[in-house]
Amino acid sequence: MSVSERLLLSRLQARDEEAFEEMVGLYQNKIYNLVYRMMGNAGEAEEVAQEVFVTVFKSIDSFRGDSKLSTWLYRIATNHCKNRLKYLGRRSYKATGELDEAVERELQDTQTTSSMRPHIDGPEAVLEGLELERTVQAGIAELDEEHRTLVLLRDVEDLSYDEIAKVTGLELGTVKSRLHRARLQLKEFLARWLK
Amino acid sequence: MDHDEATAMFSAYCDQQLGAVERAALDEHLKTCLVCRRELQRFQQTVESVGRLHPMSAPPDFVAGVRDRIHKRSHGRFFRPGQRGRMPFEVVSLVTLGVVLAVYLVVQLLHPQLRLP
Repeated sequence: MSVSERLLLSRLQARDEEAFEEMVGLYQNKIYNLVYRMMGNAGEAEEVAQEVFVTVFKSIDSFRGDSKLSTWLYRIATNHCKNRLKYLGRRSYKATGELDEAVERELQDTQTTSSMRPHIDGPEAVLEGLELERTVQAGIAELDEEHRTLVLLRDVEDLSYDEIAKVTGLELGTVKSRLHRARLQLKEFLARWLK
Repeated sequence: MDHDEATAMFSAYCDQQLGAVERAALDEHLKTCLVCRRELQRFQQTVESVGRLHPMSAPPDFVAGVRDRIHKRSHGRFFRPGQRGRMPFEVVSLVTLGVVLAVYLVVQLLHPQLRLP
């Protein structure tokens, strides 16, 4: 944990409201993005991501700073997603990979700058980029919750195997083998898109 | 090396986690195996396509939403009153040390004959 993180943590543990706003501002997009990809729905993502930060504040006194603050946040976020998916699963909810209307609009607006944009310009390329985004999200939604977590932590959040082990509580070898299986499953799902 | 052994290394290959010996063995196999070459290419494309997903941003009122939840659930008692703008103890300590050191150095420069007992 860096010096600036330790300072932030001590302010958080002193229940400093400004520190709270600083911390949420720093991590809100990372946590929201992860939760959105896990839940596959903007409404659920906002609800769960907000609860992640509420939990951070409920538990801030018990955090000793043994890991990076972001690692702890990811652990809380993945646990919240797991619990929420389990709860929704009992009510026949399934992350479908369908993009929300608002999300589609945001994507269309940003397609011109997005790295997902194909190299060919024009409306066809924009549609192709959107279709690929939808397909990848649908493929992620097909994975079981644990595989989905591993793929997102590694390939979206760019965490190392060690960090993923700390977030998930899995052994390093288990992280590697399950991540590999998850990627193979996703590859099969995306087969028609891959040339 | 057969197809299964090669496929089992794809993840580590993409993440540059293969040891030199394993990497050389896989490269050697790929030179002669068209099937594994094609499968590795698809595997890499899969990993890359996930990495290129559009990063979603939290809604604009997200921070306010979290703050409201905390205030509501704690009936406004979660944050310590008067904490806004309060300097943390560590910062105060560092600043105090810095000031004491600066005073000491200035005194030493102006009155070099003075020494601490």
